[in-house]
Amino acid sequence: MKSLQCIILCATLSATSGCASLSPNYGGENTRDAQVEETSYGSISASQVSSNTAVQRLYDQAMNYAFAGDFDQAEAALERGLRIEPSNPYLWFELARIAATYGNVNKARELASRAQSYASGERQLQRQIQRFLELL
Amino acid sequence: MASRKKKAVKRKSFPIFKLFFLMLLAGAAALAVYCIHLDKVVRSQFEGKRFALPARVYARPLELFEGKHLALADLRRELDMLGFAKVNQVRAAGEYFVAPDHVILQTRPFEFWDGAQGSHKIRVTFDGGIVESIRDESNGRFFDLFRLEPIAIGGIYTSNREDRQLVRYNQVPRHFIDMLIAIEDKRFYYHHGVDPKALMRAAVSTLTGRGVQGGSTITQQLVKNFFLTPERTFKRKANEMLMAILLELRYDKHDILETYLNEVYFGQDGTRAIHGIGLASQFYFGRTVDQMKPHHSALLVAMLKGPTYYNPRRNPKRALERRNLVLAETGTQGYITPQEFEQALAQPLDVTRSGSMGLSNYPAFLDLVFRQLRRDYQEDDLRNEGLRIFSTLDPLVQSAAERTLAQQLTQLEQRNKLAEGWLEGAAVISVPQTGEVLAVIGGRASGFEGFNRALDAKRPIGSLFKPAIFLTALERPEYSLATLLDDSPLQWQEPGMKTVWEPQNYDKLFHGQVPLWQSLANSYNVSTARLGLELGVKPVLQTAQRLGIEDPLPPYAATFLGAAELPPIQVAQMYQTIAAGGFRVPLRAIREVLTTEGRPLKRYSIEVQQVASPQSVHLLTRALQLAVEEGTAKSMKSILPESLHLAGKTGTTDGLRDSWFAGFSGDYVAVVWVGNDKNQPTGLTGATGALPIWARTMAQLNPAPVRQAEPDGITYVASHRVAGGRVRGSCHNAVVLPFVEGTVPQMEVGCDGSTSYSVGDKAKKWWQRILR
Repeated sequence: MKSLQCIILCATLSATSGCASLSPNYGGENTRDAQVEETSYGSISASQVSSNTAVQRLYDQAMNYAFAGDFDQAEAALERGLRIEPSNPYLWFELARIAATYGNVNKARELASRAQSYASGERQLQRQIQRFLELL
Repeated sequence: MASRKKKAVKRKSFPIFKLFFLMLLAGAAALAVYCIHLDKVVRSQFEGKRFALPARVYARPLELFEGKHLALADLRRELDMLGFAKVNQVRAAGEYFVAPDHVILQTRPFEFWDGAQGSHKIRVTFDGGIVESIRDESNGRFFDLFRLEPIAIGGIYTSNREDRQLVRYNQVPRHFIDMLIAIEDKRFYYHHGVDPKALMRAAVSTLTGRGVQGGSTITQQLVKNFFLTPERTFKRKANEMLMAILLELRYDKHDILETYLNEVYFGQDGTRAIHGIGLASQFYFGRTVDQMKPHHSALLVAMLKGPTYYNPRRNPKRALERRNLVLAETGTQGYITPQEFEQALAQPLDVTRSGSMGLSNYPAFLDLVFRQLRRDYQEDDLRNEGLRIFSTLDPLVQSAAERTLAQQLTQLEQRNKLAEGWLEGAAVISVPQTGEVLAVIGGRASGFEGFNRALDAKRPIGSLFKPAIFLTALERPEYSLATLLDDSPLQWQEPGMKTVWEPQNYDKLFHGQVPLWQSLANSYNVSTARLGLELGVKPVLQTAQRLGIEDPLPPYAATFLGAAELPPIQVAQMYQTIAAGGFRVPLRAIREVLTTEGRPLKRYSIEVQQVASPQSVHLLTRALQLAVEEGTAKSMKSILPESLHLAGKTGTTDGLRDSWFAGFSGDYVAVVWVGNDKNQPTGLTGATGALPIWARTMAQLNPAPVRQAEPDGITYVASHRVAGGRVRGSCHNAVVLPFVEGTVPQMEVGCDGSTSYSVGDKAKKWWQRILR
């Protein structure tokens, strides 16, 4: 079960993030004029995640790291986003997905429930989280 | 005869010669053994861990982004705390310029947990209290997000409180090395550890009574600081010279100089000893070593003669005189050009106002960091390994809370005719959703180490405990916010105990039947105690533990009314869980730990655990909001707008000994305690003591309103304030309450509270009558 869900997650990751730039961008170093490649992960794009460009930037960063297998840095970027928007369900959900990817099912479940509790009004996301919870 | 005589002489002299020879041999052997021993000492100290490097703790880095709520004054405060210099034109890292609507600043390079960030010159534009844009001055591009370097808030020191920041030889500007050699040891590059010429000069001046002179080389000085005690004896001096020679035999001049630069003492910052040029340049000039100009170097070299006597902050005149002497001497020896000399001479001392890297500024918060670190690291490693610890402290929040607490306590003392210093206080502030601790205040003298009341003062928590009871009730389908509770006199005898417990209300009155929310909002003790007894002691205590209380709670009914003694930090955890909608997030003071080389060692990531249903916590929060709107905390209105929908609870203990307030906005959870260290009455209730401190601190933080997402399965219904039933239409006695589906009161009442029945009930009654 655990390995199955890892395979599913990894498959989604690699299938959808192929176009993303792999080089991590850093707070100080990147500017808005630099070409922003919209990284999609699952079916979520950064502009869906938040209207705040700083949060979008961090989300993209996190996804790049996750895709490169650096989950520690991915988590750090998502938590940095949560400090700006602490009730953003997408960021919480990504933390859940990362926890699941490295096999921490309990943590993934708690984080996904947290995401679900902030997702009211976001039908598609709610369904996604629901599916994720069922797969765990 | 002659030969006999000769023989006799020979025979006579031989033993003396032999003895002398043997003694010489033995002496040489002993010296050799001793040298080997000294060599070992020198090597082990020099090559092993040369320095104790305290763990360095940083505050959170300030994140700047478009739309962030941040006043220009707050950015300035942050830059001042970082030791930035205010200038008219920004030319170097560590400087800033202020205009009415923008700030231009140049950051210093900094190694963050997730990578290095170079120096950037940026322009931050403000629109009122909001960041409008962040622009890179070098290319005109805009940043989505920019973080400043974090403030260093202190270290975890060895017992002698030595602090330093290591530098490499090639980071140190040429002029510093030149001046050092010109003043301290002219022939440094030519001698072998001991300088006979300088020694002779010193000996002559000592013998002729012209005062005791050093004559020590840089190598000898290093040996002295490194291996020996400061006494002045011949034995020590001999040891020093031997070791200096050994050191020079083993290591080259650069190694020795680099070690010296990191070891040398530059004075005190309170109890902290400033060692090494790396920390000294930070401490005195707010600059990194490589940013030092010749006049900075000259001052530090000047200070070597007596760091206290020539302290530029305390004795600026003296320090300036000696600095200029250093410059003149360096000029005479040809290390700087006359032009450089004139330029440097024209400079002021150029020291920052205070060290302000203050380990001592946040001892209570550091205490929490240290305790959390102790779970994962050996104390020895924390004091020696130079770990870099990124904490969650928000210095802006911390300083606002410190200021407010100190001011308010003084006011409370004056208003209540209490002796000065009678009251003490403590506070913890954190972020509801992520559990990051932003501020810890351990007492009113917050800059001093001492009893950390926020973590260690165990005091009865009074009514702050009550939410655990009400949550236990609201999790059961038979209770809603409108359920009527009995607030008539109660007598309770604990099984196995003789005494009868008779809880009283604060107003000494009994209130009859009261809706559940009224009982909590007005903090009625009797109905709350009765509710607790209905629910049972065990389930209620379990709820408290679920919410985050760690200490064992006495399994008696008296715990319902707050007999349990807990430190503020545990109360903060309990309210954190409520503020986060029933998700417990362990309070964290640390984000990341790096090794001294900057390698990530450990991340403390967010952990959450759902410990209560979002629905029941939603109802509880509504009751806590009503406590602020119209209950015991209604005085909040005079300080903070009602549109924030703050939620909170007052707590007062027997004899008015402890005054508590715990509550939250959308973005902060805070707990404040006020009391007296000897546990004597203060004359303060939760509303008159802790509440104004809580509210005035919050008022400075520009809090976001409580906007709890409405969980599924909640409906809002107008309920009668006194009778608890549903009210139809507009009615001044109605209050809109959330109900979990299936618990909406069936009974309908008129605006005057008179009982009528819902349509369903009317039909039922009609059928019942027919069938009868």
